[in-house]
Amino acid sequence: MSNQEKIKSWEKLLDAGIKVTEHNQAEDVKKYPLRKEFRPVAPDIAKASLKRDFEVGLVYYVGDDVEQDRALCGLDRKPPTAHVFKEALEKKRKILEEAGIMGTLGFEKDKGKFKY
Amino acid sequence: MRMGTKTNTKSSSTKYGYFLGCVMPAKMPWAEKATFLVSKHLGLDFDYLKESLCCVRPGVWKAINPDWWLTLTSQNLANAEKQNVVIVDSCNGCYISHYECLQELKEDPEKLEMVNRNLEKAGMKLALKTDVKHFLQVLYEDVGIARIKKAVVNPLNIRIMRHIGCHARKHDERFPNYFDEILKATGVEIVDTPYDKTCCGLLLYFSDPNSSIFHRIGAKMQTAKELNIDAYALICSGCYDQFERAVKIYKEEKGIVFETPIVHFSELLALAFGYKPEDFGMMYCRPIPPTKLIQKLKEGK
Amino acid sequence: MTTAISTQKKLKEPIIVPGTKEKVTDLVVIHDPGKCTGCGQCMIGCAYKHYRTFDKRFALLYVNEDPNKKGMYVNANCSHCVFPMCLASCPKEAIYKDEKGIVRISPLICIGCGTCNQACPIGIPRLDEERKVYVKCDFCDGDWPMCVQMCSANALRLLPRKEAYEYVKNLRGGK
Repeated sequence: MSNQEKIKSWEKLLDAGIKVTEHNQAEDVKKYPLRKEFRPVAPDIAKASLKRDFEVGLVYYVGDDVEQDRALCGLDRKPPTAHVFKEALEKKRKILEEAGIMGTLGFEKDKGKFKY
Repeated sequence: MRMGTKTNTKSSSTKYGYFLGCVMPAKMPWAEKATFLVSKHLGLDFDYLKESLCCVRPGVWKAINPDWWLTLTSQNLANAEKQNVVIVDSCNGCYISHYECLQELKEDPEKLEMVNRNLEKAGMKLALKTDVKHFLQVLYEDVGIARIKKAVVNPLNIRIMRHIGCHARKHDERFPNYFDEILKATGVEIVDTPYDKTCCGLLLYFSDPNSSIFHRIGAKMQTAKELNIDAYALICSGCYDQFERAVKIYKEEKGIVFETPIVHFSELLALAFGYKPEDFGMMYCRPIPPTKLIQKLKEGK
Repeated sequence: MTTAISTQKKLKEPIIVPGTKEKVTDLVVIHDPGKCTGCGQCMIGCAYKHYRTFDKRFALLYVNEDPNKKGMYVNANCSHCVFPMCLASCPKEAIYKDEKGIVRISPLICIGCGTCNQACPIGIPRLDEERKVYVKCDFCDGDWPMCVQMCSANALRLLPRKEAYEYVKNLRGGK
């Protein structure tokens, strides 16, 4: 397989990362040609999963369809993880904020977006 | 060489907290159910590690900042400590994250202080009283292969390929052997191929999706197709995530359909222990339905 | 015998060669192809540490599939040679070996001619497209190297040079 082959789902993941970035550097450079692009702490490709991690506490959501599948397999509809225990998620967010992780990554939790 | 202290815990006295991780509850409910069926069947004091969060993925977080990785991972360790359980991971990524975090904090008091300073802000504390075990370790060391063999009532007459995953090879060279022996106890025939050791490509996906999908999983699934294998057995949920992703990409973007079902090893154990596929929803929620496999198992009875 | 995490991390101080009383600063990263799974984590960790990207093309060490053996991977990483060919060949004297034994390229002196790449037996120095200078492994500036830290199957190890020589000799069947 050649290296040039595009993988749509990977491109989608990258797009999702760019979408959750407030300052799209590619767009900014068009407006301000002298501005130099830089690499943010969180690479674009990882931003979508990092955002989910900050909002859910885990990388995947458990939506209605998953709940249905879980019930079919004979499990509780919701797993006993941070999906249910919201206080665990709150603690995680507090740690993320107090330890300066969110700040350095440039994640603004009110907007749900990365600054850069 | 295996680093760290080995605890001689006995299955009867140890309370295990099963760490689900991100992938298993969302994409592998059948594996979750099968794991619990198997552990209860073997008489383990097995429950969920409640309030669990992402492990956090060492491949991403450790690269970004090892201190952040230590801080975030230790929240799960502190949870386990509070619940007084030994963390059991079947996902290799989660295992390595928890194991290495615990090990590093034991070796480096300065890091432990830093972690506790951060945890304190959320009203938590880590005293390093907990332990981390891989599910393979629990089965092989705490339960024992003899008890597993004794519990097998329905030997599986199928040919499988297996993939243990990179991280299970990191600190303990015995894990691949545990995996093979437990699988063999179910009666399956393991087919060796040159790609058994090869990584699933999950870790490479962010960096080089082409190699990750086509050169890693592509080679594995193609070999499985050529050898007419009945099932591909995994233990790691992270690897499963990548197998599922690759199979979908092959199907949707390339029009190539693979037919070898990807199964969790606990499913094979559950089947060998006499449970029916319906007991853990084997036929639901998977990219490659195991219809042929189930049929073969029924005929083999 | 392997070197434990705690010992491996103290690169800034001389470390004890396992089994002896000898202390060395001269360390090398070695690769065991029998253990490598080709996960690429070493390259990703290296690329992030030096360039803040997960794109493995930015890495300063290279792991590729062995064209002759299915499912096996070969690696090329800087050994910070005792007598570095790159250092000897540099026309601008931009390459030097520092007090920790790390062979470095000074980006301020390098003119990007590529002689070092030609002189190195395994072609380790590569062109940094953005800065137009040659770059190579800097042993993470004497910290615990990211590639070793990230290796997911314990295929990369950090060992004192003497021990590494023995290790590689054993891997090759005593040759």
